[in-house]
Amino acid sequence: MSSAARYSSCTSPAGIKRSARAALVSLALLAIVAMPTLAAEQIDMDAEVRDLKADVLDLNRELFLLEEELLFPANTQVAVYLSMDTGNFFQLDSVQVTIDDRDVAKYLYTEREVEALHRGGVHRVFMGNLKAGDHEMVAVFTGRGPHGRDYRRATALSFEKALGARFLELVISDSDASLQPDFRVQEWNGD
Amino acid sequence: MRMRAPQKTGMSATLALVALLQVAGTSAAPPAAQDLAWGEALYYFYQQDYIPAITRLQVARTRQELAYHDQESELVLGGLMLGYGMHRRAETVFQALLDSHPRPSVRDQAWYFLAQARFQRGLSEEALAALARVGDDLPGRLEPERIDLEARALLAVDRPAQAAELLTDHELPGGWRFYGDYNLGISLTRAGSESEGDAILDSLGRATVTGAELASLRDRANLALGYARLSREDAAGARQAFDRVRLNGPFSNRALLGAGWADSTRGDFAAALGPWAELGGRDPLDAAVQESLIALPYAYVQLGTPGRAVDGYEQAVTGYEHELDRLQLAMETVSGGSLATSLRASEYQGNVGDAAFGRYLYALMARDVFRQSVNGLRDLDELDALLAGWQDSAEAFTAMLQARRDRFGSSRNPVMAAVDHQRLEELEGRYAGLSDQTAAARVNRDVLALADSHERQLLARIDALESVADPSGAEAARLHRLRGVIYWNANAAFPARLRTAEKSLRITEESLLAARQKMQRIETADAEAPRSFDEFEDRISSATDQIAAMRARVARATERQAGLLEQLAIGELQARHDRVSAYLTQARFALAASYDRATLAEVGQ
Repeated sequence: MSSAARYSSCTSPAGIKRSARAALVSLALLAIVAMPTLAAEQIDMDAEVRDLKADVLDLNRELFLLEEELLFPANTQVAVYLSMDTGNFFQLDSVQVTIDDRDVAKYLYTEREVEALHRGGVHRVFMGNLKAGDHEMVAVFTGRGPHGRDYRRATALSFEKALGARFLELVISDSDASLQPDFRVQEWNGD
Repeated sequence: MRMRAPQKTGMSATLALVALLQVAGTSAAPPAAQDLAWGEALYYFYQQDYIPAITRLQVARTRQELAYHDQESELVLGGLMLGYGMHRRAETVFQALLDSHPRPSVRDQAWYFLAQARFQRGLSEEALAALARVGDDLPGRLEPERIDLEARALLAVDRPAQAAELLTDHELPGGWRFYGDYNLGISLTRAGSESEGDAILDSLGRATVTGAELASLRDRANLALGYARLSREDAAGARQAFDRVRLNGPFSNRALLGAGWADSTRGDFAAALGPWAELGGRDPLDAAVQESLIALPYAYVQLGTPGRAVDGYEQAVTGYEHELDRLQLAMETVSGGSLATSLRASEYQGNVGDAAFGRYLYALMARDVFRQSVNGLRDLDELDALLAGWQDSAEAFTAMLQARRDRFGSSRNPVMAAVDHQRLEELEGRYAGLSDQTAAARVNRDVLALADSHERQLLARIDALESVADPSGAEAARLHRLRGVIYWNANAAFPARLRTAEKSLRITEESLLAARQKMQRIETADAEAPRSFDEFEDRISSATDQIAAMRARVARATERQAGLLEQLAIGELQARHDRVSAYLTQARFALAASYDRATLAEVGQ
């Protein structure tokens, strides 16, 4: 029965039943009309996108390496990272890093980024070049401390930069003894 | 029966997989990242920012930066690739690693999550293949989910009898039973065991449930039951099932239409007016609502109220004509190529406000194949943005390298370098002479060789006086004694002087060595710098070519993907157009028939 005949003035019970069935078939078909062929094409398209992703990622890795080797040679490279332990006593908003009294990084964190830090992620705040010798880094953290109060704390580190990359990790953790956040710097050698 | 929704894993399959692999890592790593690069990759991963997460992990593996997390990094890399939709690569990683994983429970869980990820992407056969790899060591809490997933995958590939057999063999616990029974009812019905399916769906449809999730599932059960009964001409039973569907739920429109049809099938057109009239005030885009426009006057005709029927048909004709105009405009807009632009403007969500096809786009986004296609466009746009960024960077790299090359050329002075070299050689020569003299003094115990300047002056004066003095005289004897005193003193001081001299020589030697090494480093750097510049130049040039070629590939794929989206949208809009056109034809035909009947009635009077 064609859909055009469905709502004709047929009044016999059998006709009505047939009409009802036709309506059901019509509704059921609505969900899949015109899609199967295109769905197959989309599957083919998905495969093409997958291949592209793989190739672009390979290229991205090469470019990442090229960029770091060119801009931050291993002999002069210095990087500052930030990580959080539990962070119950401190809700991080931003961090500002100065090295030898020069501002090198200022970063404002989103909730999503802070959540990633809480789960064990480590954020690279800064990467740059420093000559061999003595240097001083100061990091200023702002956020909300215990009881939701505004909180601003700084931590400093004097360090010697020798030949080879140098990594500094700003670690925010909870001090269970003082019920306050604790800020410290951990040094890593890059070689 | 009172049911609660079951506790599910509550996270994406990819996230669950990575979490599993982290916990199951053989290194028993503490939660804190032991390698900075690992932590950095996790930082991006937890934000579902897959490209930097994968890249950081790949680079870390290349540079061997993962002293603590190396073992699990490959598995997690596989998980990240899976999350980013790179199934084939991810599976290669998993298959290579999981087969040899020492813990069977980890292997089974990984295969299960892999199956879940495949099913979520519409790869049902592949999901079943992964499920076949799950052994007997899957943790008990995941077992109901596994059965549920396998049943849905079997239904998706149109194997309802197997799904029914699976669900009959496994009784699911707690809230999972509700899902299991729903799928079992559907499977049995589709497999031809209609009465058994009816009983199960009917039981579910009458269940008392808590929470929106199960209430929605109960609505689905009643809707499926109602249409199944209607197809078997059990109108009364169908009406009961439709009546149990909530009026404010997502299945209510189809239930109302079905309820009206159940009534009209029984010849009770007065009852059918209720649900069909209710649909008249609902979303005009909904297929059931559109159909109700013509169903309602049809019922009036059957009830012998032609005046109301004419009003209804006129309203239906007007409504359908307006809808056809809007659909036509939407199709023209989509054909004009603005679909991709609008999707981008809506951040791929489909809410494009007042655009001509915006009202249809939202409905289109509910279709899996369309959403998959939109996701493809989003991924391609993301790849192009990434490559465009690198293209800019590559230009900056080239300029920077040229500046370095220029600076190196201007700061390098060969004349000064030669002078420094000659001076160092002179110093090394002097050191060699002094070193030889000191060694000879030690061997020959030549105490006067280490005499101080005062003693040397005295000895010189004695030499001068002796040359003029009478050798046998008293003066000569005094000079001889004086020389003896000087010799005595020099001899006494000799060991200390020798130590001091040798120590000074060692310090001098170290200084000269350091100077020599520094000069060699400078010379090496001078020699290598141009080569390093050349190497960088080659790499940048090669990368620039690759970026351009890759962007061209991405552009072609984007064009194809946008075209496919257009086809999907046009197909959907055309289907709506065809359906509304059919309704319009019916409405016009019925309206003309109603006029005829009215005219005949007037003539008769």
